[in-house]
Amino acid sequence: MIRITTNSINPADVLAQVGDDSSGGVVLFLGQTRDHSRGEKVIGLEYEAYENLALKQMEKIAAETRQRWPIRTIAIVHRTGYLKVGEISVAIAVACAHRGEAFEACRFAIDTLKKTVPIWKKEFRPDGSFWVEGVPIQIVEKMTTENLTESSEKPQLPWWQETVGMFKDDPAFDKIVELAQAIREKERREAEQAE
Amino acid sequence: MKITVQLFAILREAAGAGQLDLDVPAQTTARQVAQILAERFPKFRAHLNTLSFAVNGEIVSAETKITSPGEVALLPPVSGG
Repeated sequence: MIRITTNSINPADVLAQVGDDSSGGVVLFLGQTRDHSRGEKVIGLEYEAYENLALKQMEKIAAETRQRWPIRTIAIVHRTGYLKVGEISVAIAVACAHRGEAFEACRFAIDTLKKTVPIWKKEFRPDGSFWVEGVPIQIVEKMTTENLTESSEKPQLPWWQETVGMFKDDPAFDKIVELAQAIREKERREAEQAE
Repeated sequence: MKITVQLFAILREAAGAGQLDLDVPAQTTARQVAQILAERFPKFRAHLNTLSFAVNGEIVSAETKITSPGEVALLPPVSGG
């Protein structure tokens, strides 16, 4: 079941769409509207979709998830319109033979949805209403587990501040220092000659 | 060539409409549609660099030429879920 609805989402209805006797694990993800965002109080959220394309993208997510994990069934439902805090904005249910693949597949589906489906949300706060800054729409088939990690989980450091390894006790460290000194020395000599 | 432009979220509000009819020369690119609208709606300018595009319900690159009458959607960065 792939659906966009203005009605409230009932998790039991979504679960009823997946699972059969061959499914040993069913994972249900519910996204609900939160009462805060980046330190600001939130009263409600309004969701808007480009419905034709959004449904098409959700179908692609289901197909892509099926291709990557041995899932039996998948259901994806997204709500649009105004939601109060605590209401369900999105539900994804995945049924698999085993729980591990069900968890992974469901995670992939929700992470991919956030980046590939043309839906926008506006936060209603005590100080006004604001469109949430999103991400440029991406191609479902190109999503990888790595680029799906949420930015809140992985601090985004510029590359030169990232620690990729330690080489304090590595003989390569002395060699690098030696080479760098040689390069600097060469540049200094060239600069002197140029003068 | 007549096209229908679909606008969403911040752009829909800036234009005061979710749908606009526009007459553009053949071979106009998706990006140029946004630029044409930015002249009419100055608030669009701040978003030109972050937009994505769909033509007749398919996501396309900004340089895609529109060759027949149809629907062009300007997609601001998405924030569903």
